Amino acid sequence: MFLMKNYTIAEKPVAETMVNIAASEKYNSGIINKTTNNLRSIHMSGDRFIIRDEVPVQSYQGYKTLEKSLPGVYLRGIQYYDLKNIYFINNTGIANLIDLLKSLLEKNIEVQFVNVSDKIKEKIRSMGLDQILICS
Amino acid sequence: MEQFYFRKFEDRKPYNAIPENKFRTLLFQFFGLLTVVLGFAYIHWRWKYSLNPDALWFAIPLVVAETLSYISTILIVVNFWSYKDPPKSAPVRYLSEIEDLEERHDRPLAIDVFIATYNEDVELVRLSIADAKKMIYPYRDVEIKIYVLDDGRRDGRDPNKQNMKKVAEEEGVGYLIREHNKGYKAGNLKNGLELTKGDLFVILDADTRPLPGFLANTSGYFRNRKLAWVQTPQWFYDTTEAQKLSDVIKSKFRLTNKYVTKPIDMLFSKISINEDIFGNDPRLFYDVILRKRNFYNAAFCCGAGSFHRREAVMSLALKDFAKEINEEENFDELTFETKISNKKKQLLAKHEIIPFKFHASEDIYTSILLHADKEYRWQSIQHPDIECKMLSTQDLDSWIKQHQRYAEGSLDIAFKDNPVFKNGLTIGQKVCYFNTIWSYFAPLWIIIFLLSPVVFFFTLQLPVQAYSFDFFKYFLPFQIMNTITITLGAWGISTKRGDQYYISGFWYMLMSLISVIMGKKVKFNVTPKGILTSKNIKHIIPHIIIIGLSLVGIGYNTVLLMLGYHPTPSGFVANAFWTIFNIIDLSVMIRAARWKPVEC
Repeated sequence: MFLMKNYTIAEKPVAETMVNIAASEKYNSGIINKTTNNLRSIHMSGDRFIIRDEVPVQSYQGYKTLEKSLPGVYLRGIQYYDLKNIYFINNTGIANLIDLLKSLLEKNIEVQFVNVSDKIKEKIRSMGLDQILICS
Repeated sequence: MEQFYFRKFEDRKPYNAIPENKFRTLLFQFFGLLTVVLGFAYIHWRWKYSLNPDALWFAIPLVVAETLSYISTILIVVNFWSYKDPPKSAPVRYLSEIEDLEERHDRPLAIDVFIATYNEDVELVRLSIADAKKMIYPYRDVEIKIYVLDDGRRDGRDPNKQNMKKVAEEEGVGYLIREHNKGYKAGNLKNGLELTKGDLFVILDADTRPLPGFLANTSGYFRNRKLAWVQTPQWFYDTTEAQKLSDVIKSKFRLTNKYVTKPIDMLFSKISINEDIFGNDPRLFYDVILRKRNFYNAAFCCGAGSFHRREAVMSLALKDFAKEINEEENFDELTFETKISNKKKQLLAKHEIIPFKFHASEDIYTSILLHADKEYRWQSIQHPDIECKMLSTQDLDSWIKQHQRYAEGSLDIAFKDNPVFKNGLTIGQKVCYFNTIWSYFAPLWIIIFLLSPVVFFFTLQLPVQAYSFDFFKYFLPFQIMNTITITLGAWGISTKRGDQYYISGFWYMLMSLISVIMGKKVKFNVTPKGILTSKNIKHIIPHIIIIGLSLVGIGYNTVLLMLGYHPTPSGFVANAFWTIFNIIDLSVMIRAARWKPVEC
């Protein structure tokens, strides 16, 4: 289970941030490698930005709650989140992204989402939110 | 534990929904159309042939009032046109049954149950929690979580307040608060939705006690992907019981002598009065008016006892949010390496994602907007069977405050965002919402109906040329057909109290209309639960004045008649009968103001 390091990164000075970016890139790639195709939905839970999914467990009948952090990098005042392995987002998930954006903007941190799938980009665009949730 | 007054009603059983009957529906449609035609003939004759040219100052307001009232008749016929109860279906279990999964794994559903409270007695809320915990669901892997949404923040910080958090913890349910009260109940629900994750959620008020089958009997409807919410009837199980007139007389005059009480019992014991003295029984509304709006997909949410799809309210919230932001600011294309925009920050801080509109009538307003959504074409259902029970107002002051909020909320919507002009609503939906709003304009014609006999009694002027054969030729068939139509449309349900309160509620509705027209902010007054000692007299002063003037007028006209000076005896007879009906209707609110429970 990984927990998201979010705005604590933003409080560090720039020089340290560069070091942390290098470290976190390695960390992030590790996360990305571990990220499976099971990532499907995004939920906010308190102050943590967690990806949660219920995945079937083959060893016994039932469902396991799988929580993974959304990989992110902080660079020059902008927090980038990697949505590479997010294939689906519903209205609740989009609302969560906006809440995340608002929370970080209060701390003067801009947010951008990278590696967003075309499908999710189109959903955000069709809702008129493409100027709010910056995706690339 | 405090002994609540309503404990004695615990064994009351809810009514059964009136079953659909195609033959009765066809009869209603036939008589309904006949009523509309006869009504049109009457109104046409009134305008063209009946106005007293010597008293147009009197004649025209009355015929305008009758015309406006006739519009209500047409709207009722349209609203009551047909049943369209949705087929019932087994409870849902998996997400795939209510949503398209796309790339997601299937999983059991999560259902949240919200109990919204503010300042209600915590032991009252405990009863609602206990009943919510007793709800049965056939699938144990469906996650059902109960949360108390406490807008009173009674978490122990204020020793002068009861501790709601402690009760929630004792009952093993969630407890959610926010540090402000922005948006009233809608804001409270917003906070609850932000902190929970159910795919479906139920809204209960502090006094709403769900029956065990609530979830199981309603969740199946959500197999329809377009269904946004289900409203269940709000059943008030504590409406005042009928009292024998003989008991009321003996109690009022403190009669104990058996030689006096025995004849009173013989004469009056078979007569019952004061049953549902406050007209709280909403059966006509839920089992007929709202239920028949299923035919038009126009049944609106009434708050407590409703069951919602989270994605539906979130879709509305996001669209509204985007619209507000984009209307306010034209964003320049932002580059990848963008700087923080202070303007963007301010804009986003100013606007919120609001699932239920921040409005005193958040339920009906949100319903209008969801129905008008052209993209999703959301649907709603009025479930016919009772699945929860609630407490009704037990004194006139509380009743007036509650209904004033409904009136002001609906009128506010009418003036600021009228559903008649709303893009996306179907014609049927527009007519149904217009019917709701139109009913709150009723005081404009009701007051004319109440004052017209008084005006006649003191001026001896008739608004019509004569109460001739022609008048009754047009008036009586219309009224008789109207009565038959309403009886068929509301088959099995007494409309007596509803009719009485329709007339006697004229004053609070008029005050609500004036308040909204003058731009006064619509307040969200929490309806007190329980029996309160309050001053009800101020609400019935207009009623007493009108009855007093009517009786003086009748007395004066009687004297004139006996002395042979009355210019229009037939007019006097007609208006005297009219006055008797008015007095009977007005008196119900006077009796409600003076009503006291037997035990307190």
